[in-house]
Amino acid sequence: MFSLQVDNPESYNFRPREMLTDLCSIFTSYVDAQDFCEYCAKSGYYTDELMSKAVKTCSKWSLLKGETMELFASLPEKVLLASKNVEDDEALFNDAPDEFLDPLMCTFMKDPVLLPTSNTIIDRSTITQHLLNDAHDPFNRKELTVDMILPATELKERMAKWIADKKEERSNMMQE
Amino acid sequence: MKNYNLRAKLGDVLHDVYLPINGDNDVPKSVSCDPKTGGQPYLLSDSSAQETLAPSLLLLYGEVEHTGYYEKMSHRANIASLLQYLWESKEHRSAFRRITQNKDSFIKFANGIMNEMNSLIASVMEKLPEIRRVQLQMANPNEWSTLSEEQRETISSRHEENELEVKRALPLCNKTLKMLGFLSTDIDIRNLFLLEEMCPRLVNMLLHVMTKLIGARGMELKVSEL
Repeated sequence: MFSLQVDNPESYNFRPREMLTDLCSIFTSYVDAQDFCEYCAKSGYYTDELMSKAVKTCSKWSLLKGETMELFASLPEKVLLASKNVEDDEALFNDAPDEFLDPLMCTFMKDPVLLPTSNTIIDRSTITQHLLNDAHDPFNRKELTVDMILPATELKERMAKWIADKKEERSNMMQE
Repeated sequence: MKNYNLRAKLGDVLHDVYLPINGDNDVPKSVSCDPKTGGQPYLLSDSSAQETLAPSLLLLYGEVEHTGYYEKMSHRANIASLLQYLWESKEHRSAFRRITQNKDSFIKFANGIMNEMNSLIASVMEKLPEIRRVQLQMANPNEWSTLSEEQRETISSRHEENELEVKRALPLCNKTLKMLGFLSTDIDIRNLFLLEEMCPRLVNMLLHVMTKLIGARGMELKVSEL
């Protein structure tokens, strides 16, 4: 089941079983968080096969027990449901104008902000993540910190209106 | 104390001297425990430790960044053990509460953990198969004896380097996973990990580790421990 073998694993502190147990119990703490499941669905590392294998392994080797095991076993289905939401949103945003898209991630921006250093508009989550590891504007390498970024209020309002119109259009289509 | 090497040492001293239930600890109780509170460890009985130790250790975790590649890992493993001990004692709970109120410094700490886990797991899972290959090579006298002395030396010294790397990295990997585990049981801390700037990084890191541990791309070998 595990992909690695060495002689005397204990001499390296290599305890794959324990690692997997600890890892999977972290997941169980977040099973009920919708955002967490959506990010799983979006992650390039996630496959249903991988998560189902983890669930099977935990249950086969009794790595997790009782309620914790049940919680973990419910994760693949929760992620599957979340991925439907993600797809619906993506379908909704498919024909969004380019200015509504994050210039790095090409996703529909949730909270557009302006970088005064390069005059670029970008999603807040993208830039805050970037700034955690690198305190520079990604577009021109000028120094940039979180407190310098400004809300792009006018664009945000237009985007909110665009979504509202889109949703109304969609619900009208469903009724017909 | 400006010198980060000294500050890092302080964490090690706390770990080696004051942390009870330390496997190879031969420090007498008269040093690590407070007679005034009926022999309670100082880590728990001292009121200023109760207030400031947990938040300071979180900061220290980030600060040891520059102490050097291997040093950093052992400092952090020690800090993680200390934090786990403090977490499990009711005396320090309110200090952990305060940590969650300082969102920015917690995010920095959490971000550091994510970066570190990603690089540790990648390195360990790259080195272990290499270690395995050399172990097999050395165990096979026919193959090993056909190599020139120089070749054997090159392979051996590289092997030792890999072993050193893995032996430093794995304890920290193990402890960091445990630390994320207990921190995640707390609703306030969980909410910080669920923040938009943190959650995708957490998810990717967890799935990265899972892929490396049981993913289909790995070589299908059995661990002798199982």
